[in-house]
Amino acid sequence: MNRRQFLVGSAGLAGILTTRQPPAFAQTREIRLVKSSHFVPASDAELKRQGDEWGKQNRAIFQIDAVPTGQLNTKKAAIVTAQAGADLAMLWIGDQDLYFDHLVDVPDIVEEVGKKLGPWHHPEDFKIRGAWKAVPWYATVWPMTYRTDLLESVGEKVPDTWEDLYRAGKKLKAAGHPIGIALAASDDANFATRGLMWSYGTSYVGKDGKTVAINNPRTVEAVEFMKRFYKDCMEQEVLSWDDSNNNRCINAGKCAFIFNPTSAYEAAKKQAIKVRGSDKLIHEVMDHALPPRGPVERATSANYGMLGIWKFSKNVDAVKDFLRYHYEAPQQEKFIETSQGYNVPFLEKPTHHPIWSSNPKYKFVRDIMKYTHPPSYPGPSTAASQVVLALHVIPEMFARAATDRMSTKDAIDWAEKEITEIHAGRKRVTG
Amino acid sequence: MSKGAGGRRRGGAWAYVAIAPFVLFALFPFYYMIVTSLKGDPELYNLDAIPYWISEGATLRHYAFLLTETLFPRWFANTLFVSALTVVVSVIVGILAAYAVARLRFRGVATFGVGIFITYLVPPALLFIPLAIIVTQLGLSDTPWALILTYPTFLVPFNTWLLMGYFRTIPREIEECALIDGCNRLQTLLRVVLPVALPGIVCAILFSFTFAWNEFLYSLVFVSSGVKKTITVGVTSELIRGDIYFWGSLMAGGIIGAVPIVVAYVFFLDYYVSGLTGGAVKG
Amino acid sequence: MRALSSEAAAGYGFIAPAAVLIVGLIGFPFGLALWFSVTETWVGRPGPFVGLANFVRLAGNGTFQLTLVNSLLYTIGAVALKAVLGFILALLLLRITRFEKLIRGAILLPFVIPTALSTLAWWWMFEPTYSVLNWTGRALGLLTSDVPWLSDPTLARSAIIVVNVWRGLPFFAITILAGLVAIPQEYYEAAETDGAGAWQRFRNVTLPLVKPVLGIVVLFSTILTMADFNIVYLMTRGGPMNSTHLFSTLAHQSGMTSGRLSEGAAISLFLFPLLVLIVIVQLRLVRRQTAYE
Repeated sequence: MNRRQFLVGSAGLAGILTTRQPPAFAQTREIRLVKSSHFVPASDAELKRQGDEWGKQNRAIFQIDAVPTGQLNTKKAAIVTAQAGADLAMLWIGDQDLYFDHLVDVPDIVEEVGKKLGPWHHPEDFKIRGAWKAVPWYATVWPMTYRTDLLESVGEKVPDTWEDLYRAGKKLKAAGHPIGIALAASDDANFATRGLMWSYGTSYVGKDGKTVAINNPRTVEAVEFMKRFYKDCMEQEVLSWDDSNNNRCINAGKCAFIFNPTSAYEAAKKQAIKVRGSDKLIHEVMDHALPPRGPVERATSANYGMLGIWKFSKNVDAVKDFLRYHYEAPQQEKFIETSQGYNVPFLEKPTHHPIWSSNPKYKFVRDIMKYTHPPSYPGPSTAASQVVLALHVIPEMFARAATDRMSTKDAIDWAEKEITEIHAGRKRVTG
Repeated sequence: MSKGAGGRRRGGAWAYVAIAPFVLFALFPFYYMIVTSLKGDPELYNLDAIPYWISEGATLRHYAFLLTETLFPRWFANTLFVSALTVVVSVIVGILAAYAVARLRFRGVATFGVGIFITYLVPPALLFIPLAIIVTQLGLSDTPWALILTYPTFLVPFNTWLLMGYFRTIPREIEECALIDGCNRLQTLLRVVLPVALPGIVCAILFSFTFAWNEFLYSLVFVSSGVKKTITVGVTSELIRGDIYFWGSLMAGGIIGAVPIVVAYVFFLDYYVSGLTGGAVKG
Repeated sequence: MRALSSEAAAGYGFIAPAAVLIVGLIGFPFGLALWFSVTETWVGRPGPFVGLANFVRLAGNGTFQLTLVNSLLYTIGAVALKAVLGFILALLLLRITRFEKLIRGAILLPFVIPTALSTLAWWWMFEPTYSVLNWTGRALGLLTSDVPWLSDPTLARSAIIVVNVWRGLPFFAITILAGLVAIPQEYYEAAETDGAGAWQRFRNVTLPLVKPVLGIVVLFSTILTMADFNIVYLMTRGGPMNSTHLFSTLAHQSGMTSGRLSEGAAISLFLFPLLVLIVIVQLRLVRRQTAYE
């Protein structure tokens, strides 16, 4: 059963059920994209504009279904279950595994775009079982956002390593301005804790994406570090944070450091928020920094967005055509611009966009991509890695150890058990 | 009050003093919501401001934002539509079922009665995942019909149980007269029984409306497009941009979202009370 | 003879819509849930039959065990508080004669308002940075540092119980009040002439006659509280460290958000035997009480 929106117009039945028939040139097609609603509304508006522009030349109507981020997964699940509801969807990396059977292969698009705007950054990250099931779209990067004045007031420079951050954090917490890294069920927590683990040279999974590799001495080191960090630099509230709490914490003047995309800074600018107890604008004393380095490397994660075409779409060729249009230089440039630099494509040429060099507070963006890995690093992104994300296993492990609810060893064992089970469950389905 | 008039004594002042904390406890969150919804953003997010009242000037900006720059009016319309139709479906089906169980004798009526009650052991919290799949495969996902058809699964048993009590108190003679006069069962129900059971029916309507208006889980899981959402899901999921919450508008949405229910029960307070107590006491 | 068969015809006709609804939208999904729970099914990808493996594994899973504990604590704590406070409130309402409608209206308000929306207000009241409770505590000199309402497992559990009690108390109070009002005055008068004091009148007249009503309310409330979703989903999302997860929220996270349908189905099916048990136990208790009288 088909739930495409009825086109306004002809009273007769004829023109209405276009999607039931193969697209003929005389009929207007409808292309529907489902995505998460963007933090910067102008970005979604620009996407719609591009869709309308392209649609005019191709006798198509372009619709965007923007749902809140937290509900995108449910929406996609409903679409796949119904085998209808959209043509194009924003996928999180790992979805290409979950929906492998329902996505159109797109190596052609990937190659064309790579030739025009490439090379692609880390293309192997996006392939699943050797196939291109979606086109990499953009990342939302996760730097540290911090208060420059508070850092200065405790006599510290921008922390380079986790130990630097710890030292500064200890002083800052004593001064009433703790650090805020969520150890809870949120994206912030998922990405920051992975960054910590990777910087210590460990991860929860091996390169094959199947071996559960979390139980090793380097993980112990990372967890032990977080135990110290939690006690001396953070406050208990981080255990219940969702993605919005850290923004509020820093903009209220409380937190000195948070791990967050540029949304906190942007909100502070937009709402002209003042530093607590003064008339100074807080965004003037906020800046971003690369995530800290650990003993082994500097690392962090990010939201990796991709675009996938559903096999059951009646307009696959038209959608591919739209993608080619969207991935042309002028469109990409406008897309980046309207997002105020929030959208970071995985292509070399667009990432030279001046927006990131124009504002010194955004200079970090080009560099941070060097240290950003998909959440499943070093393994490929799969449905299982998405579940590990959805159940927030890694932050929960850190939280249990940091609060002494479990010993370090027990917490790691617990995480290992959970992740092993998730992998086993997925294996039963995919083999 | 009703029968017995038992135990009602004129209370001393101490009763009013003792009940004050309860009233305060009940009302404070509403007061707080109203105050927060009228506060300007700078004061709202200022850690040094006093949360209990507004010192820097009240503003209607959050309400304006809610009504003009979000889909709130759509959510309101959707919720009204879903609730109204839910009432129609669940009250009619409930009346029929209740009358059958209360008054008619036929094979299987007892089983049916038990079956009605057993549905309470299978609450939405248990069913929402498979029901989401079924609703989607029926092509109802993202439509109000998904809700209009699933809400009665909870409301029909409740209405049946509620109305059974009322129907049982109607003297059989009245119905027998109608039957002898040549009415069939349906006509008897419509012309004779319903007018007498009107209080119970009003009660069922109120409860059904309130349940549908307030429902959250099914609405969350079955409807995902912004324009199709109901108030509860819309307000709690769409008044955010990425990771920024619009607290003032959230509170405003909460207030406006509650208004129809408050209005309904200001007018029908006695029906609510009798509905809550009717089944339990008669039961 | 004709009258009987037309009665039966009417009967079947009348219950047909309800029966279709129940079989189709309760019975069938229940069956589907059972099917999901004995397989490994992910969204868009049906999987193999695994028997009881999911249930066995869940029973040994730490998070699930914690969810069971959470649910029991939440249900027992909230229902007990609602019953006691509801009784007290009902007794007080009995004595209120002036502004009766206004006061009853105020008391009933939390119950009729959409829980999803009022929970937002409570969430804001507990919010780590802006909590009005912390502000008040500090202002009155009772607190030197913020209370981590939603980040400490015990406090978070208490917080969700508080919100549940706030919401459900009116239901108890008003229903118990009706039960109290229905007690004929003569019983009290008889007891008084027998020389019974206030407490004895309460114990021997009030309590026994209110017990049936109380029993029904407690039964209903236990079922609804155990199957609660809104408060936890909106306020704590199951945290901190899964210490407030209920079956419904865990099933939502494990089943819907992650696409692993069989997991979600298995988790939520645990509710069924629990609810059956609750009903059996409570009905037996109520029956035993009335048997004594």
